[in-house]
Amino acid sequence: MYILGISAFYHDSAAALITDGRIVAAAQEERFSRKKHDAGFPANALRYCLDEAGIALDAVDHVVFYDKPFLKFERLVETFLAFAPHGFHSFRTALPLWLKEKLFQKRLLRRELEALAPDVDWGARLLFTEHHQSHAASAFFASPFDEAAVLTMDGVGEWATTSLAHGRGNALDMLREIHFPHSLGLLYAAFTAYTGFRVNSGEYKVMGLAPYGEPRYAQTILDNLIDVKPDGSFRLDQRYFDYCAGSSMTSPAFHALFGGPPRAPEAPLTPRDMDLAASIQAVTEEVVLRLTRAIAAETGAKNLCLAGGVALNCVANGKILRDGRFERLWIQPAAGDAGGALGAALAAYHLHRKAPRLPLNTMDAMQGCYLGPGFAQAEIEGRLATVGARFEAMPEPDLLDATTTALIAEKAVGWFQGRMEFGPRALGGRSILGDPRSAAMQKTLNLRVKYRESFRPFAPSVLREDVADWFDLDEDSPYMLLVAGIAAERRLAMTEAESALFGIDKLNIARSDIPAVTHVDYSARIQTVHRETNPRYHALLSDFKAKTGCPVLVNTSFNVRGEPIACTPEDAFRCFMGSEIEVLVAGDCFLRKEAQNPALKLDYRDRFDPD
Amino acid sequence: MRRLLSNTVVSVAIGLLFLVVVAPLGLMMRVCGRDRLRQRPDKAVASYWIPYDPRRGAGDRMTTQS
Repeated sequence: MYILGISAFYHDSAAALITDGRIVAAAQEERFSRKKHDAGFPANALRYCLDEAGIALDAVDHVVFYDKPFLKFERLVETFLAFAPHGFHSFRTALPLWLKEKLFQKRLLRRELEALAPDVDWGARLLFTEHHQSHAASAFFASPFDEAAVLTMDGVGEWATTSLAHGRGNALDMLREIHFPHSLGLLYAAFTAYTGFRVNSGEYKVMGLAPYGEPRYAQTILDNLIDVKPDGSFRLDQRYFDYCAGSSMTSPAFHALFGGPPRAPEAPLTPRDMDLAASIQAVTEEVVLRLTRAIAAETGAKNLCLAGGVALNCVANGKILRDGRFERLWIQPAAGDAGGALGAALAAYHLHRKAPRLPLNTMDAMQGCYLGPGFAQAEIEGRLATVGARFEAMPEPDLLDATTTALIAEKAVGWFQGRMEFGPRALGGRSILGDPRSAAMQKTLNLRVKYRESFRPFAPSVLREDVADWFDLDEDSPYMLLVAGIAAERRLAMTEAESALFGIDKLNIARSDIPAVTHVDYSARIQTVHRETNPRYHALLSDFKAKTGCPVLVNTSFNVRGEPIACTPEDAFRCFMGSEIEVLVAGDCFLRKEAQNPALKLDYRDRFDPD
Repeated sequence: MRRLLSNTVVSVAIGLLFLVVVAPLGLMMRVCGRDRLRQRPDKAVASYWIPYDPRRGAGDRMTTQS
């Protein structure tokens, strides 16, 4: 039985295909359309999923949309009623859009599907799951647990912004929820906008900025913006926000409370912005920990699954883990709305068709999250040759040796291998790699390769076997969703003068043996690399370790600022030629920048809108 | 021209709908104390969790958009 899940029309469209409960393929539309956060119907991603399975669309038993349009419309109407006569402007924008397409989502979907497979009655095969049910299903049914408590937190779905479910076997019972406009995701988004970043993509930047600041405003937030009960449930005081009916996230009362208007995008970051970031991060952690503690106490669950955009807050995730209330924690790597496509398909299979779970995998059902397109060596060579690339194909030992040598020479290496990752993180399939021991690497990668703000730290990939020697962590973290400290013996003491440095200057001081992945608070966002799911990346790290004693590499996504992560060999080559990546390793092909035709160089710096 | 005209008609219709239906209805509901979005914190309650109606998430409900 084939079930296709779709998320679309808000942000991060995606498609996912499962067959008899096994995940065959999943990918975001942006990777194909090359439009970051593409929200259109995921026609390319859908076609790719079918190709991967080698089937035509009419072989698909169910197509499942990841939320319920009518419930969402009801929420919209109630919101306008609650704020009118305020909110006319957004009413005027939203209503025609809803009347034209969103309210008739079923018809729209049917039309899109009929265009691809006209002889099928798609109306009978279309299903709709609730938004948070989709998230919960993506977290539980893909997890390695037979039974778990499932917590989902995001901006908003239909009404729910937070939900608790209980999963057992092939059952997933939704238990309770918190409704719009009370949302941890929207609260974080409000601070993202207020500190001058873009909502829905700048949240990572706020999280990355937080360790530079002091949580001076945390109490102000708790006293005014959000009322948190002992069990972690919360309400936001809507006087401080404007996202319900207005066109911005925050209201004048919010600006008055924090003493000024929002920071203009691209304006210099001040210590105040850093303190605001630290404050909202601290409050988020406080709320999440209250939630998980109460859930642990009440349900007695040994396992916890997380999904929803807030579950991408890996600093908070690390705190849940260290809080120790659950024996095991599993987070869906595609925790945002893209993952809803996968959850919708899994929910339909287990809850609608009532099919049993597959035998539990020792890790999980995500196969390392390498669920996107892969390219055979011959195809990579053909595609690279077509775009004029000069490369040398090498057997694996030589390839690894040449790559390690380049890394040790502090070169930025593009690493294009195997199937593309599903979800927001690059995990060694479509990555840019660097030597974490280099004090200059962080700055080089940010300014010359990624063209992004220099305050943002990079994440380490580390051999699973060695993680405890380098970090305060001895768990699997294959999806880069847990933050933990650098191990004490790897830290370097700072001189008094260095300690006194402030903000971003501090990031440029070597604070550990692996400075490029050490944040100012000695934390790191860790990816453990497993031989079972990515043997070649594991082999590269092993080779790097053999030559340097260090089983760690800098791993950042294969793109420049504002660009979707590379999908095809051509995407990788373009990014290679448009940035200061010096070496590209695509399949068995080894490409040196200096060997390339200079006429193919691209000016990539201003090609994409800032994210 | 025709498109411009139809856009104008739509804008006027939406304006009227808002002015004649949404705004008065919303105001009236609020005067009657309706607060569907629960806009202010409530110090008196112990929890803000809302129990889930199990009929809603059942597998056989997936055929509908609501």
